Amino acid sequence: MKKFQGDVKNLIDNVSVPTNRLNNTVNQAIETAKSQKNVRFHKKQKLWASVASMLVLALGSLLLTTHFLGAADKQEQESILYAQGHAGLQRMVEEDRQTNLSLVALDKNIKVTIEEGYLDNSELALSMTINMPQNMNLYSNSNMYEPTLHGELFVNGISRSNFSYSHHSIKHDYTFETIYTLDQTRNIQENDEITIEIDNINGVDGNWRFSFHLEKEEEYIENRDYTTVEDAIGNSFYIGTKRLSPTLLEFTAKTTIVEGEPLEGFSTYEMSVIAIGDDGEMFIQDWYSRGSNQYEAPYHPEEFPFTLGESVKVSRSVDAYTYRVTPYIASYNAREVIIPDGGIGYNWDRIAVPLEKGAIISTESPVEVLAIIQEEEHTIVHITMDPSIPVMPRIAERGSKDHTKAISYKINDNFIEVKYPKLEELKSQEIFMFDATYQVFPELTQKFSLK
Amino acid sequence: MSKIRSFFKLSEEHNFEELIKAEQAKLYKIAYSYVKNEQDALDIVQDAVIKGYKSYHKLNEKNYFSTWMTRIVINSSIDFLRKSKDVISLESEWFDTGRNEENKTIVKMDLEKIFNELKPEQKTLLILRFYSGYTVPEIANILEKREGTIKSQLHRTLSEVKKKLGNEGGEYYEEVSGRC
Repeated sequence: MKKFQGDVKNLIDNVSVPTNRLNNTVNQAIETAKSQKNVRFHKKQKLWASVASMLVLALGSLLLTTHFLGAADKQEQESILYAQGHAGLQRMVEEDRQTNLSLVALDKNIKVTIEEGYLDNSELALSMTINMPQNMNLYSNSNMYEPTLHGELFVNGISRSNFSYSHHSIKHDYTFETIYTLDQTRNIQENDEITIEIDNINGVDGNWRFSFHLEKEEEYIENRDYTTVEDAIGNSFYIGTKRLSPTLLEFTAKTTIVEGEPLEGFSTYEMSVIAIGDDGEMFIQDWYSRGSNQYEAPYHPEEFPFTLGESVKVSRSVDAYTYRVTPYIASYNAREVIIPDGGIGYNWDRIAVPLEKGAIISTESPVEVLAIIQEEEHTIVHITMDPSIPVMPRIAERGSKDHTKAISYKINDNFIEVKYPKLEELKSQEIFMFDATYQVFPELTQKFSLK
Repeated sequence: MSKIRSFFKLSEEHNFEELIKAEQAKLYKIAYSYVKNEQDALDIVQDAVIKGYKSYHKLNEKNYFSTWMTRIVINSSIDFLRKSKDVISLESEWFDTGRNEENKTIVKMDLEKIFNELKPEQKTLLILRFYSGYTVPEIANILEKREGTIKSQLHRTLSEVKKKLGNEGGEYYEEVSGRC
């Protein structure tokens, strides 16, 4: 006890204090507080005028938004499954394959609404809205702005899962939106009664209970064939059982890399997963989860050789059945950042240029922009780059940390045609690559078809 | 009457300024424990001092000034993290070292790294219990939670610390656990 207490105390006590800056900060804060106290009275007088202006502005914005939103867009805009779900769930919403539920339970002045549900043979997803009473002190109750939620899911009265989490999207100050997901859903049938019982929200005991049925997407393809490929050096890549539902592709994989280029910077072991469309369009698929039960699984390899056995889930952004998987190692120049929920993350450095004809991204293997074409729903960019590089350039509004990923690409004789979601205001956009080197293992590429 | 009031207000302000000088280093260290960045920690202290100054007249028992300001700085730190979440979560790419939910790998790490990886509310418990030295009932009072809730959250946090410390942390933790 004393050792632990001492260590925690030392940990914080050893933080060096910038005495002069701290003195200045505190003095300045006191002066600011004094001056704010003095102006409070004057501010009150101005408040009503400001409120009136804001009402006019808000009403104006609301009218404009309502006018311009199309019906289909509106559904996607309002769907929590779309806003917070992975690419496979987003596609289900786009194709209207979710069940709209709108079930409400109210207890202790906290309103919980189950908005939508989706069920197939790989996952069950429910979206929820939580409205907290305005007198609840969200900070002091949980020390987290988002409420904590605890509950249980039953299928035909039998408990399937306890859940407890606190990561929600904040819609308004007292309204939160979240998605609950359950995997291994093959034995849940369309007519089964699904019950959600929430018994505690943000420390408040209560009873928020919902019972309902969900339509089920039955498509499920399982392929138990396995293939191992090996290159001349002895590196090998195994893909085992593959399972496919409308939203997810799952497979097991084992990679052994005995030799490669020296690893510098922040290295990660990755896989490029491409869904191949009927006309040869290559759709870039993101992984949804990767898991290994290995001790110290080498997701960030530091040396060779290494072996990684894992289970991979990929979000299906497109209704394709042929996939190409290529292992590679990416080594990034990265900066460490603190993740707000705790932990350490890494921001990868970008090499960015304005999105315009003739622009060249000066990466190790340069990328040149040949043309930009605006289509009705997409922005198409023609580029030249080394086609063996496993990632496509991304686009970001200048100064923004957000960015847009490529949807798909086609390799033509003299250029690569890359498709992005429709981008407005091209003048303010930049095209960029991460400052990284890629070790690709093309001889280990596996291709499989599940139809 | 107004002169007496003004005098009282003046002495109260002086009192706040004196008290905050004695606490400011400690408050900075707590803020820094959350954000690990000098400028952000200074911003948090500034925010907390402004809030404290404005509400100081509501603090009836001045002996609790330290506890009261600790609570304000903790809330300001969490508020800061919540606000920066909107910004940071839009960052191009980051690699969460805990990205692999199915990975049951237990990696032995030192206490500082483990502490940095804890959630803000877990850090709060360790700071209040083991840095500030508050008892469980006092923490419950500060965080406006039931003692039972604090005990179970502290237990869960220490279990997590134990797990991450690996075998080496086992005995270490058992000692800690006995006193919670």
